[in-house]
Amino acid sequence: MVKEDAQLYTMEGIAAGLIMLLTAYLVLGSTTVYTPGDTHITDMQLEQVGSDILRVMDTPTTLTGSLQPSQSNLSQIVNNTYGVSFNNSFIGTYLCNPKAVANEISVMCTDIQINASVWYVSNSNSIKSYLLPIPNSGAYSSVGPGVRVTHWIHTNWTPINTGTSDMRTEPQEILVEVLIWKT
Amino acid sequence: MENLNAEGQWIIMMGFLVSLGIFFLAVIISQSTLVGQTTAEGVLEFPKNDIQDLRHDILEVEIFNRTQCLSFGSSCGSISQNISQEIQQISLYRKSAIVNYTFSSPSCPPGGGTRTVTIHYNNGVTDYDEWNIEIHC
Repeated sequence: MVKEDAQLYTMEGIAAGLIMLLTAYLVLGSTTVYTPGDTHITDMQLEQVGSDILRVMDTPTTLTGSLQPSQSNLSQIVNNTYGVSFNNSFIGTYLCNPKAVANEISVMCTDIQINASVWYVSNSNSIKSYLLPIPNSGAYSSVGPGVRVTHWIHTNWTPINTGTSDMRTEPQEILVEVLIWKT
Repeated sequence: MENLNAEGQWIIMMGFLVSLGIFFLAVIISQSTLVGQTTAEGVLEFPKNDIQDLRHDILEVEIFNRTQCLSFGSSCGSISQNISQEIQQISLYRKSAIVNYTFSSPSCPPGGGTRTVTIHYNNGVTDYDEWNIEIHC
């Protein structure tokens, strides 16, 4: 005959054991190892800052005689294919300027590289692009994912010095694409 | 069972309650990392900058269409059509997005009034429509 003493203690012991097991399972299961690539937070910041810079660069700073906004800095650069000037503006004036928009990431701004291209529809209705020649230090390697930011430009001017003779000579929309990566 | 010691039942019950409390806290903690990750991914996935930029450009095209286009004379229509094609084709080709926009009338009604702009954007993940943005001439 099995003794019937202390059955409540036995049940309590089983219940407590189950609860401890479940808690241990939950605690162990909730510790996720986060690698920097998982969080995407730096990509998010870089993408936001890049978009903001392009938008600021495309804001005209002066008015013309007829009080219309004059050509923006970005528009001038794109129309004249000033790659070096684009690089200096994007990296020097805005991204790495401690007084500018991006001062929270200026710690790492020395090792950021960019590449820019301009996309347009040619007069034969095909989509084409040309590069803004940017002097790279040749560091075509990256420690994290690169981000791509774009900006639409409404331009009344035909770009010059691009080597592309098939652009329309009338007002048109072009897309500036900048690839940003950390070396 | 008649020999069961009935003392200390409060202690046992409080022990149960505390362990249940710890259990629920553990559930909440295990959810928090997941919430942070999905939020960051959701923010990344929503094409906020693309939509803002496109909207800004379309409104600029509207200004051009309303003010400067007429100075091009008879070619104003084909310029506007080309601009619409450029936005649609480049969006599709470079941004993987279907974009369409319309202006309510080719120019301002005489004596001022309003024009309306409609924008459609769809990149497969986000569908964004803006109806009847009112522009005061």
